[in-house]
Amino acid sequence: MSGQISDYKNCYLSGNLKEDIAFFKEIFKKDVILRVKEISARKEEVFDCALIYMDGMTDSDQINEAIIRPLLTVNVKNESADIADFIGKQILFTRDVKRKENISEILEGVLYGEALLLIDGSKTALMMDVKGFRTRGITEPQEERILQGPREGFEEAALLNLAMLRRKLLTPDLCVEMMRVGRRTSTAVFICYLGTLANQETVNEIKERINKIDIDGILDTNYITEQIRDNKLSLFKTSGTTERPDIVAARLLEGRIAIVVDGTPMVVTVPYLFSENFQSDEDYYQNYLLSSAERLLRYFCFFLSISIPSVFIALSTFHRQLLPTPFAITVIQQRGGVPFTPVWECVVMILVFEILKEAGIRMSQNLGHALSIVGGLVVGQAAVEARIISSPILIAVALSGIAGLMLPRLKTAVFYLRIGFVLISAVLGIYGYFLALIFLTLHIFSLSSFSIDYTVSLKRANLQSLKDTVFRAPWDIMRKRPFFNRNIIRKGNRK
Amino acid sequence: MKKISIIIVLLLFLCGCDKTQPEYLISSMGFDYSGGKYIACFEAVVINSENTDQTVKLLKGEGSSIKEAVSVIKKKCTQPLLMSHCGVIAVSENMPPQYFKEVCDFCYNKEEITLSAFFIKTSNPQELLSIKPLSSVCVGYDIMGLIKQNPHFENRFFEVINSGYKARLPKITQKDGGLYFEG
Repeated sequence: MSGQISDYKNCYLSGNLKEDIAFFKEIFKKDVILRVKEISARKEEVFDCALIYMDGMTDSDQINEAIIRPLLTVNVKNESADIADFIGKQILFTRDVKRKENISEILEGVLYGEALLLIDGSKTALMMDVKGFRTRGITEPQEERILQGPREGFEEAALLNLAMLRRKLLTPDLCVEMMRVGRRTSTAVFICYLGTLANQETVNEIKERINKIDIDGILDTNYITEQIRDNKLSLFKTSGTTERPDIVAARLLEGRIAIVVDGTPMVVTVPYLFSENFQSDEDYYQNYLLSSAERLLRYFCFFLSISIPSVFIALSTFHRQLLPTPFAITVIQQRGGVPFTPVWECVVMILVFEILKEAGIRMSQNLGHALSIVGGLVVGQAAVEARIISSPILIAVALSGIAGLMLPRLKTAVFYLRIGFVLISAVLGIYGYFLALIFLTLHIFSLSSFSIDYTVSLKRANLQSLKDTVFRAPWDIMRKRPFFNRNIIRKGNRK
Repeated sequence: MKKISIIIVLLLFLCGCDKTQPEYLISSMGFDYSGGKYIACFEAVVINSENTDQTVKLLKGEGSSIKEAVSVIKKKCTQPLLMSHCGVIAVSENMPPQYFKEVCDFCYNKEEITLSAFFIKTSNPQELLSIKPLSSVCVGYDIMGLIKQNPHFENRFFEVINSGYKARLPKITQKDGGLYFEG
């Protein structure tokens, strides 16, 4: 026995109530939240049964009112030869009743919050959907706050998330397929897509890759995305994550595929393009002129964020002649007396900035002001006055860090690229910087996300591809979906 | 891998104290030839981290070649000279043409000197560079300002080289502490 549900793949109910109850009690012998309620119906029909469920994962009101009460009070004559069929169709009030015989299927249901009804003399058990675990509730995602637009966010219960998604896409075209992943967690993973838009080959590819995952447990979407992604060593994300149902709905409408994992509010969307790193949820909820300007600014900030420290290091170390003379004088003056070389000063400051950023995210909001004071005054002013660091480096790193904050989806890539660019510029000067820039461009253009080119919208040098890439065109002229859809016509000509 | 880790650690900790001494930024250079010897004088802005006000120093050296004259100046300084911001190269009008070419060759081989520096001629470079600056930190940048007001001369370093060292250089003179552009 490996402790997995699949251990019971070939086990079936015996039909003897006492034996079956003992069997389930043996399986869950060290689980105190399993409840077993034996019921004897003594009315028109006489039968014994037992209700098995997980306390806390089920709705006790539903169990009382829709299962126990009817079993004890409903008095109808059995006209069916099958007792399980009779109970399921004529006695129980629950909204969904399934017939199960296989133990592994029964265990899957019980562990997911369904109630099991074992019937004496029947090799078929009934599974009732009475899920009732408490959830956090629908709140606005902290990481994806917007000023305009819907404010609801996903939560940990996948079924609720699917309902939120369904509410936005009132079409029978929405397909939701379920898979179980994780040897021990047997986590429910749902693949959602619009049947007439999504590329079926991509859907199959995703399912195939998820099926290959062999891991103990899935506790978040990242457990899956890390294992199914293309280019596993790349710093760039090749799958999108969001906590917002409106974003997932918009992605599905573009022919993308969403992966919803039970137990996490993060939903994955694939294929993911490089240009999506520069898109904000709000781009589509505000004026397109403003959105386009902000999007261009994000591209510029990505460039600034990886370039400022490295270009500064290259210029101040190797190519001082390129600096304007007054600025060169200031740099030399400020560097005087600092005990570290510019490159280490820069690397250390980048790390300090990341430490402050991470500390700010993890700590409680009440300590935020204290962190600002410590970060701003101690690390900034005092370190410069004590000549541990020079102010031009501090300014360069701070500017780069602030520019990087504009791109939360690229934070990992920006962090490593910043340090990599600084180190290569410290060795090869401005030539190193441009060399790194060329390699970065080649790398980005070589990536793919589920067989779709990562930079497909940038490679196709036509206006149609750029409409929702570098800028956000008005809805009137965004008539086509991305090319990887089965149906690329987004908007008709109807007046 | 172990060796690489050790090298990285050493680079981090053994980089030593970096430039605690003042640095010399050369704003202008003057070259003369007299009595069989080359005379080089550099106007240097002394950048001191302890003091935010810059001071200007005139460094002078003599030798049988330009290289020797410059090495005399270098020996006087504890830090390398930053020549990349040299804006003006003043040559004596009495300097014979073949020596002027030698000055150009020296500057050209010294890659740090920007090719957009201005060449000027004057009667005595040392005297010109030793006057008190009028509007900027050093005389060199005052002269640059003066030249930029008269842009019809082709006296930038690269223009001089392109002309085969035959470019007409503007003449700058000093009188009673003032600078005059004579054309």
